[in-house]
Amino acid sequence: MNEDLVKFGGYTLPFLMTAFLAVIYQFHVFSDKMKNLIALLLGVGLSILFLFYKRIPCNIVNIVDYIIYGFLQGAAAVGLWKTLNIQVRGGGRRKIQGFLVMAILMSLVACSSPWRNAAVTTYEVLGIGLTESKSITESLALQGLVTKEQEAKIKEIYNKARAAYISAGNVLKLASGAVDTTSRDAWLLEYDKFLNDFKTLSLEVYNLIKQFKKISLLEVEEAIRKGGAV
Amino acid sequence: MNSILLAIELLALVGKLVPTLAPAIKNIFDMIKGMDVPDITHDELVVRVDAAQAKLEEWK
Repeated sequence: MNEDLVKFGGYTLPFLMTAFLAVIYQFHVFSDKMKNLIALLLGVGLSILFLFYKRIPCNIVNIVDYIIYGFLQGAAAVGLWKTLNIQVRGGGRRKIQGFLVMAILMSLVACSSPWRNAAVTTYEVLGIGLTESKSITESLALQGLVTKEQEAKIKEIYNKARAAYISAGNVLKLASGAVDTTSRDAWLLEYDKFLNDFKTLSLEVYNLIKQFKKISLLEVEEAIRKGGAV
Repeated sequence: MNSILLAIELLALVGKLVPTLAPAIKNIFDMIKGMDVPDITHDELVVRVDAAQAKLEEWK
C-alpha cells in the first residue's frame, strides 16, 4: 500500500506546494529569497507531518530520509513555480490559472484515494473534458462559427483521441487485474503512454476550437465593419 | 451571446465533474479524520472504465 501511495502521491506534493506558493507569491512583503525558503521549509514540514501521520517509526534513518525528501519536493516546487512565473510575465496568465486549477484538481484526486480509485477518477475526468469538446464544436457549427472543413478536422483528431482513450482504459483494466506488482507496473507504464497520447490529441482539439472560433469571429467583425462603411 | 453560451457550457461541464470529484473530496475529509479509505475492487474499476468509455461516443 505504501508503494502505491508513493507512486501516485509522490508527484502531487510539488503541485500542492505550487498552489500554496501561488498564494504566497502574491504577497509582496516577502522577498524572492524568502519565498524560496518558505517553499523549502513547507516541503520539509509537510514531509515530517506525513511521517507522523503514517505512524512510521521515528528513527534517525526515517527522519533524515523524510527531511531530504521534503527538501527536494520544496526545491521542485520552486523550480515549477519559477517556470510558471516566467510564462505569466510573457502574458499567459489565463493559461497558468487554468493549469493551476487542473493541477489542484488532479492533486485532489491523487492525494485522496488509493491507486485504483485515483486512476479511474482521473480517467473519468479526462473523458468528460473531451466529450464536452464535441458538443461545443457541434454548437459552434450550428451557429456558423466553424465551417464544415474545420469541423471535419476537429472530428478526425477527436476520434484519434478517443481511440487512445479506449486503449488506455483497456490497459488500465489489465493493470488492475494484474496479480503481481511487476506486471502491474508494466501495464501502468503502457497506460501512461496511451493517456499521454490522449492528452496531446485532446489539447490539439481544444486549440483548434479556439483558433477556428477566433478566426470566424474576426471575419464577422470585419464583415460588420465593411457593411458599416458601405 | 457567445459569453452566455460559454457560461452555460462551463456550468454543464462543472455539473458533470461534481459527481466524479465529490467522492474524492469525501475521501480527503475521511483521511483527515484518520479513517481508512478503502480502495475500489477490480470489478468496480472495470465497470467505471466501461461506463467512461461508453460516454465518449464515436463522432460519425
